[in-house]
Amino acid sequence: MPKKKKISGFSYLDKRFVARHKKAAQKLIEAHRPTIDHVLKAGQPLKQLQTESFKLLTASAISGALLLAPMNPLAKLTTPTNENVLNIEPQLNKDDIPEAKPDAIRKTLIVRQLTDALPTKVQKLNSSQREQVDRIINQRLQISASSNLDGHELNTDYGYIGYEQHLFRYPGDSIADHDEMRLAGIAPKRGAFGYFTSSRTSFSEQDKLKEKYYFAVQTFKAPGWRENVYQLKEWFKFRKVVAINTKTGDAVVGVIGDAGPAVWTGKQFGGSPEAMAALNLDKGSRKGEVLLLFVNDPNNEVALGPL
Amino acid sequence: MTDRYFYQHLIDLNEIHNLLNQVELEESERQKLLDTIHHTIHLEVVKFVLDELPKDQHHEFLATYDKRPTDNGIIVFLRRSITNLDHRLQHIIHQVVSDFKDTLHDYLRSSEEYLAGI
Repeated sequence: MPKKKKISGFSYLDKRFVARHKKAAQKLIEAHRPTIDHVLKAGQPLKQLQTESFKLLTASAISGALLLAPMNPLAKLTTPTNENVLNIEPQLNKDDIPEAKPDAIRKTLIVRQLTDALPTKVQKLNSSQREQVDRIINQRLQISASSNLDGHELNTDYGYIGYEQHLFRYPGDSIADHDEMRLAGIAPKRGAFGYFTSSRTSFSEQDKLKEKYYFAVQTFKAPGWRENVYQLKEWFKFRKVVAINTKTGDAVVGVIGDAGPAVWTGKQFGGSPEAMAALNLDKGSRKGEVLLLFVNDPNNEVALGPL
Repeated sequence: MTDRYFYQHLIDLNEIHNLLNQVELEESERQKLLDTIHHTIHLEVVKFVLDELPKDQHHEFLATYDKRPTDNGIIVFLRRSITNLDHRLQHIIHQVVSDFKDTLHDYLRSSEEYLAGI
């Protein structure tokens, strides 16, 4: 009897598993190609569907610069190494990208322009870089934002952000009372600035949005903190800020709701679960490079939430 | 992949884990196989939902799901449009998991035969 060859566990299983996976991807695309084509062409990344099989099958079916993403279609759309993107900025014509959403075009432009303006590594921006960044943000996001407001600034304006838990919004609040992303959990203690409101009865929609889109910043490292801790704490408390994912152009307006993260983490900012989702940083390592700027909004006209 | 999706509570991979424990695998290999299972479940679930959901709700579902895959609101939204959603999703997932279990059983049987010199 010829001697049998031992089958390698992984290679055998991987091959069979991938075949089953491809079958599922093919079934989905065959049954719903028009829907998927339409959504992808509209600029929706469909990152939840991005598996190798799915990508292979859709790439062969759909043409256009938007749809040839190797990993994350949105990142592809906004990555400056994409020749198509390089060629269309800043005089990007909406017609150049068939059926692309204005939102996707705006993000592309933001990323392209920020790539030119920002240093290669995260760090506090110098005055020239700040000027450029302020101009880009003001132009593209239609809000007045800058690293320095009323003479106050943070230890940095360009850094890494990490994923934070929910915060208690009022005494007696619990994760069950939060309406979204409960799996993120809730921090064991109040934020550094206390509750967002004093009681459940006084809890308003605005308070809800403040927690939903809060950021943690290293106030304890801000210039002048030691000398003016009480004054600065009051100034930073729930101060309106905007965060921009410099790799994707996603942006969200929120408030400073907590102090942190710890220096040893290597991160400079933290974001609430919803803020991180809005920044497209709620998957994988849940960490990314962002700009975080103060919003100059004396009349409280800029709404909290994704831009 | 864990606790990423709205249907996560319907997935039971205990038997898969037990079967994988019987195969000599590196941790990264084991993880890759598990990821493939999750991705496959994922595609089958999306297909089922699109099969069942009225066409005018497809875009809304895909957009919401893409942005907030763990949002409890998705399953609430789907339950309104698809009767007996949880049970049917569970059935789909069970079928997919069974396919992978069969593959694992095939492999283990082949291995036993090999070791027994058959």
